[in-house]
Amino acid sequence: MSDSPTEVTYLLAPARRGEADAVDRLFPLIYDELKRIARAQMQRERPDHTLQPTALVHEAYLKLVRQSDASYDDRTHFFRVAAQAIRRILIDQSPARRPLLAHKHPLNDDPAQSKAAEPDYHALDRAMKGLAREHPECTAVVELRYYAGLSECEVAQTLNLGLRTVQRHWKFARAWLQREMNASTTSTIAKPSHVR
Amino acid sequence: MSVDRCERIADLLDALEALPQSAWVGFLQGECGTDGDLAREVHSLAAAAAGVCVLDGPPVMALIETLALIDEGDQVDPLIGVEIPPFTIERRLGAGGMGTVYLAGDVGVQRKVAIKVMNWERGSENDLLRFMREAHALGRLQHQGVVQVFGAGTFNRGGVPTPYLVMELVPGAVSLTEYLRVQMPDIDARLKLFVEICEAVQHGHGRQVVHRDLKPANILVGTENKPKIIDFGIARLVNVETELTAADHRPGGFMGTPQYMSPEQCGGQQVVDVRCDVYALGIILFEMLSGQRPYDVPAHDVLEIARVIHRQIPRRLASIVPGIPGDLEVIVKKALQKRPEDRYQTVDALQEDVKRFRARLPILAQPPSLRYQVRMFARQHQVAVGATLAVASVMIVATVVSLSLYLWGDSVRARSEWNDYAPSLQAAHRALLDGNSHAAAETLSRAPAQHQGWERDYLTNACDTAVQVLRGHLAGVNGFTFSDAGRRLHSVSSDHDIRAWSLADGTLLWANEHHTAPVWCIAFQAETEMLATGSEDGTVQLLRASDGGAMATLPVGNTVVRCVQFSPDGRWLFAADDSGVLRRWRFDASDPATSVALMEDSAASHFAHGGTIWQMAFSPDGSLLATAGWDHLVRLWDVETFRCVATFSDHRDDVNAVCFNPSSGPSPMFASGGCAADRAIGLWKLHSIPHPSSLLPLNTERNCDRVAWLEGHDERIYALQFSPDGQRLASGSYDGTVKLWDVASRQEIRTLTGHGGKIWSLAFNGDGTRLASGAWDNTVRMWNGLTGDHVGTLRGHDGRVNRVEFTPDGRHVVSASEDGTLRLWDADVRSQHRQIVDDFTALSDFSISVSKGLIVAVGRNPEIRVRPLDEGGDSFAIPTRPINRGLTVSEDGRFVACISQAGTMSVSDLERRKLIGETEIGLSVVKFHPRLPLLYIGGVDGSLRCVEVQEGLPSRLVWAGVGVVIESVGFNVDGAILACRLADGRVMIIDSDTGRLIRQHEFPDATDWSASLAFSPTEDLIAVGGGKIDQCAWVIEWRTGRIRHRLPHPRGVNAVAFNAEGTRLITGSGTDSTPPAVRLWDVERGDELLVLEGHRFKLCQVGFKDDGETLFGVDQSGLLIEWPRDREGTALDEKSRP
Repeated sequence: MSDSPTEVTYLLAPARRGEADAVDRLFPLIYDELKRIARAQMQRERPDHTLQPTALVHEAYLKLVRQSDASYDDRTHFFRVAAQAIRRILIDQSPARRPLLAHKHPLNDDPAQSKAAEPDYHALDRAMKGLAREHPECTAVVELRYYAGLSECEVAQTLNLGLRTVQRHWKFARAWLQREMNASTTSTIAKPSHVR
Repeated sequence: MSVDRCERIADLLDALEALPQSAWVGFLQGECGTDGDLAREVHSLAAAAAGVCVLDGPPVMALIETLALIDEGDQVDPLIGVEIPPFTIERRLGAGGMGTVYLAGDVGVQRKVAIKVMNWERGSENDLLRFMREAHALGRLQHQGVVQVFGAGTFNRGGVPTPYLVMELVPGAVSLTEYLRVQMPDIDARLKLFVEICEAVQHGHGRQVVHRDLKPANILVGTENKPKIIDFGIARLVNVETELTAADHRPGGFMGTPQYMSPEQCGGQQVVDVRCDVYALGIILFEMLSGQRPYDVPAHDVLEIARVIHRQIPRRLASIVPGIPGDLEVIVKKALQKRPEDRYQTVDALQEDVKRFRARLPILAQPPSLRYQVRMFARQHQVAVGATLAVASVMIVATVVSLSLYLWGDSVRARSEWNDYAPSLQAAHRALLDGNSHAAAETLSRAPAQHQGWERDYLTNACDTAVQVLRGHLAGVNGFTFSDAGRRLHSVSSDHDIRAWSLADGTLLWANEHHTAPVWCIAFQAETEMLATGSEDGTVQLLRASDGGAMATLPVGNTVVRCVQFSPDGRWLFAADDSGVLRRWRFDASDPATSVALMEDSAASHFAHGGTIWQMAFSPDGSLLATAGWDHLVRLWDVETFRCVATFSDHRDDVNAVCFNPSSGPSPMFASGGCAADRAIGLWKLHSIPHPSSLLPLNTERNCDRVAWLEGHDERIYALQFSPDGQRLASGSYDGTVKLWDVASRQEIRTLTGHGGKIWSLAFNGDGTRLASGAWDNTVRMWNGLTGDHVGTLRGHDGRVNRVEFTPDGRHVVSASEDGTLRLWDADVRSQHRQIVDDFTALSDFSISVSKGLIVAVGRNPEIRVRPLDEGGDSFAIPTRPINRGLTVSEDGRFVACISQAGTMSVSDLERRKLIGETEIGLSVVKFHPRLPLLYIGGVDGSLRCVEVQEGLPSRLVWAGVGVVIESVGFNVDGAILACRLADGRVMIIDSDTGRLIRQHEFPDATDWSASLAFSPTEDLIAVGGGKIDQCAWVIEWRTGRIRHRLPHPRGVNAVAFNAEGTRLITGSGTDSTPPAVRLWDVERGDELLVLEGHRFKLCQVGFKDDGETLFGVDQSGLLIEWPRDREGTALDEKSRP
């Protein structure tokens, strides 16, 4: 049963301020909505149709937040929480739950990608934590771009940054994370690059 | 790294993308110049990004599919990804009653563990301490058959500190049930597995950890079919300090299965030890051999479950598996014995027999003989376990405890056992004061055995001071009555039973189960020796007191019978119920046999009240019956004609209590109380009884007066009792106080405080000198029935006290409690509190001589008053100067030195009762030598003189001093050395004979000493009390000046004393504004062992007396409190011997 949109609206501000109670309540609400939308999408669309990844998050946003009450900062926060929810979801479900993905990612034309194995979301999550420690300014970009699936323009709008800045952050973070993941998979005892 | 650098790198990466990889180095050298780090960084990043990038494919498809597949209502676990350093939670593995288990990985090392996050709601710092200690104990279990616990701690979960345990991960393991189902091993393989399980359990027992929750779900079978036991001792981690709440029936209140619970685990009063694991293993063995359980324990009704576990005989294995060897049957039977003492006493013994069976050797257990079996069957009711069903449900419903971070490493840190002793004592004492006697006793029994002390014995004895405990009821005991001149007791309980006990030895005489619902009331008719009981099943049972044989069942209706009473003349039986109906039957005391038929014919009833009738009482002459009801009314009935003769409607809420004044002469008087609305007690007097044939309308008060309306209680009044002489009325209220009222003047004499919960029952003894009160704080308190002075607190019950009553001979008090037991207490509780000096405001000083048992006091009058401490011995006075301001008594009690306002000191002989001499030395402090008849005086010039106690008081200078006033002086045991504390904080150790300065120490930190100082009898230690500023006591090694301990004491310390062995230090504290306490410390380690409260003023003297048996403290108001190691309690049969 979905809560009225206003509940999420009112949670965003305190959640942004870091109030634990609001954060705890916000997460499941967004998560539920994403689930609902996803289920609906699976039923409606055929898997090979072009899916707008942002549709998922945007739809959740429209559903959950009352536009007139939400400030610009609230909107940003919503998307970030949604992205974090997605990030959590991916590492929660064990591989057995998800069927092997044999089809291409429709958004990425790179043929090499379609053969790529399922990324290790746990390793990525750990790398993200490292990124958050050393380059916190890039984390938001990655969350919105990768997890929430927003385009570079949309990320720029959401974070109120210049497009070029977003592109630079994305470029840096992408390389950094990849390097981090390479390092963790090759050595048995991964030496973390950050100071504990 | 700054943001700009970040962006610079990004730009460089862009540029590199346009170039072939071989050209990168050169390009970067050019771009970065002297910044080699930058170049290297960019190069490595570019190399990484050149290949396939994970981030190039947003996981939208995976995401959508994942989301779609997640079940409706399946919440993503918010703990995934949470870091509990050094681990990160990765996956949820499963959830149980006590917590959820996750798989977690260690980032630094490729290691996976299991983390069990406990379900936690609320807890206290004390619970934290306990949990950590218990969790530590679990870490000591290191056996291949036990899942290893690595550590424990807390983490912040949404603001709530939540405890967790880090455990070994057992990959690929299945539960025992699953293993048996899938693998289907043969009997021998099963027995082999069982032996291995036993080994693992025994390992835990060897480390003093009882599992308490053994069941197939907690036994994993891993690779190579090796068992691994999980959740060892976890049940204890979360329930040890949980509150033992009053037993309400809680159907379906369980979490987890009660199938494997031993009888003592669903009974609150028994100590649960390793044998409960033996029992659980018995059930598991039964299941392993047959695939079924020995009996079916229902899942819902708490009462039913306890019944089955306590009463039902297990099925025979042979009835399920035909041809099973008889020896196995014997082994299982022995493990499943209801009484722990009848089972295998250790898991080892059980294991041994199974091994012997496998080796085709004869087993050691004997099959019970037929006669034994028959006897056991007949004595089922006498199983010596008590039960509180609330305890059972509490043990399984995991109320969670809070923890704090406890740093471990991978290695288990070894700690000495002593570290558990002081916290154990403190926890036990707290539990005791909270009313959890059983928990306190159990905590004490687990405290390390090597460390004994007065304090441990004191607490152990304090846990339960009952002379006799009657166990057997499975639920709360609601009422009782005496028969056979007080030699027999009959009790009724919510477990539907009526039991008869012999008070001499506490044995059960008979038990009657004819009621089918909780029984609330019982009455005894002396001539016919009949009992009447009323129950929730809507019947009144009539039975013989001698053997419980049922005589008649009188139906009352579909209601609860609240009270049942025989009229004093034995002709009628009355019953009152929840529907407001008062019923009467004719009863023929002379001929009980015909009585039964007569009763059925004669039944009459009135719709007396508009709701529950709470209590009824007969007038002293037996002609009137008063009923108090929910409808705010009190009604009076003529017993003979069964008509209502008066109604009293002054109360504004339901009336819970009514009682008659036993000696109000021709005009009966009674009191009524109740009412949350008016919280008052009505006192009524009847002038004349109206003609019984007239049925008076309601609200008539023509023939009575409301004599008084006693207000003062803050909440409803539930218990009312007149004293036997009718001069006092005692009222017990929900506000936790008892009030004593003077009937003649209608004034309140005293409010008796101390109970920590609602008062439910009051009783006077035969001569009115004692009043007993039972309350919801699980205690019974004894008061002086005339003055209201508190005489003692009787602890031992684990549930609220429902009823208290003195035995007819007045020597004992019986209490019935919700914990399913009745307890017999010695009524002659010697008061521990004594006011030894009455008019302390008129006195300026007093002192006790413990060795001689004297109290010596001085004041404005020109005399020294001497009184004996105990009975016997006489008081006398020795003349002296007037207006004395201080005194000191020699240790042997022979001499007293008295300092007058004028500045003179007089020394008197207490034995010969005369003055020895006087002197006019200006002095600051005076102290007698402990052995010799010498008096040491500190002069105002800082010198120390020695005065001989004889005619003329010759004195000599011992130590010239340093010109600083001496503030206190203390001698060591033989008096060879004395310590002087100077006004400037220095401590001088001086030879008392020669005056040679042995040592001198300075203590700049100790700014505010108090006057107390004591030497240890066995070591070179001095204890000095610190004042209000320091708020501590100091223990100093006087040879070296090293401060061994600083013992924190709120409000400073006014009195210090060592025990005779020098192992314990007693400190007494307090200022006038906060309640003071006496504390007991361990001298070697400086641990606080016990805090004893009760004084109201500054302590001036503390110590042990009676050769270390009794600890005492005296405060400035002259209140002496004694805490004896052993409680005095006399067994019934000892006293009844001629």
